[in-house]
Amino acid sequence: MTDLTPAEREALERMRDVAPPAGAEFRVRDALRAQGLMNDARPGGAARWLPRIAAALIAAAVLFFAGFNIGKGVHFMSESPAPPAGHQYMLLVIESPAVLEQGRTTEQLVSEYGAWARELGARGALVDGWKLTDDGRTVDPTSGEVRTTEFGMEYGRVGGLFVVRAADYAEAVRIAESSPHVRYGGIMEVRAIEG
Amino acid sequence: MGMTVITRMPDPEERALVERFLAERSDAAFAPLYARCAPRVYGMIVHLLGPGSRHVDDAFQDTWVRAIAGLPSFQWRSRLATWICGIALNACREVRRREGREAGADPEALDAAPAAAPFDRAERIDLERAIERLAPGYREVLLLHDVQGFTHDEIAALLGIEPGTSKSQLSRARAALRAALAAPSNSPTSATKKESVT
Repeated sequence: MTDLTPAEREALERMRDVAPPAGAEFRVRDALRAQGLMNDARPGGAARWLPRIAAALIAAAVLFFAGFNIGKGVHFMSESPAPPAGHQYMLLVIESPAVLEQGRTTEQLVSEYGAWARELGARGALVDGWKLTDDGRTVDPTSGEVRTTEFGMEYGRVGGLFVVRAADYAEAVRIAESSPHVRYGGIMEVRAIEG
Repeated sequence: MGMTVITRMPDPEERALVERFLAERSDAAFAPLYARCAPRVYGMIVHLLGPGSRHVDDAFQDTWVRAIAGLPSFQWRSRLATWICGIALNACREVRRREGREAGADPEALDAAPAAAPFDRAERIDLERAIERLAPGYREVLLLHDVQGFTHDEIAALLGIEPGTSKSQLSRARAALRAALAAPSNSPTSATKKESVT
């Protein structure tokens, strides 16, 4: 037998534990629920509920709107320029875990979101914005029931919305594209507000 | 051998955690089980598949599903983490079979490698890379025994080999690891690193 030196043994034993990445526990729990091996965390919730996605999405929404609130504060507290002429557009923030999987720290994300919102506010393009609550129900007349909102892997739910003012739809799209949410893989739906 | 024994007698606290989880199957009951076992299990998988493998997370998840499914029949012949590591080993073997990744380092070549100096000053990253390049049979025995603390009897039962085979494999694995770490091609900077930490 080739014996290890004490230092070799110590070096190998140090390799024993490796911390799983953030989110791994949520993925495990999700898989366990999908197999019916764990109870759903939410009373009345579906076993297919994806807690990892939910956690990521909630975190993304919090980050995003933390940044937004910074910008909104600037917008309402400072001497903002007159709003540009144009139409109002709604930017629906579709929550996406991709935003949290691009390697930036929470502080970096909040800072970038804040900078984006401040810039919009400073030029009067930001009308308002809201973060929606994290839970909800879907009223589905086809099934005749009110069911818990479920989350998809590719398309999440709406986590919040902004109303911006833009000269036309193309500019509204450019505003959406300039947001950290979209630049980091998140989805925004841009809709003109009629009337 | 002064290897730390970590595979023996289950402690009452661990048993209580398992019983609670089986009774509740709740998040609150799962969290302490996960916290207790996850770093060892994840470490096992990372080193078996290699730190850069894209299958690590899937194998980790698969391992937990199998472990929790089999938890009611767990016999407490080992610590919980040890038992789950055995499941992880099988999950990783399946991954390698699927991916045809059994092409590790050539055992014959490693056997023929000259004796090398101890690797006690090797950087962890060098050690991980060298282990990743070991032939799968060597890698498994070395990880199970020297990293995870399994006994040769446990390894024999897990791998379906004789305890004596486990011992001889381990001896060759250690020699191969030393040779791999000493080889100039292993890491252009390893020699420098060794110098720098002396």
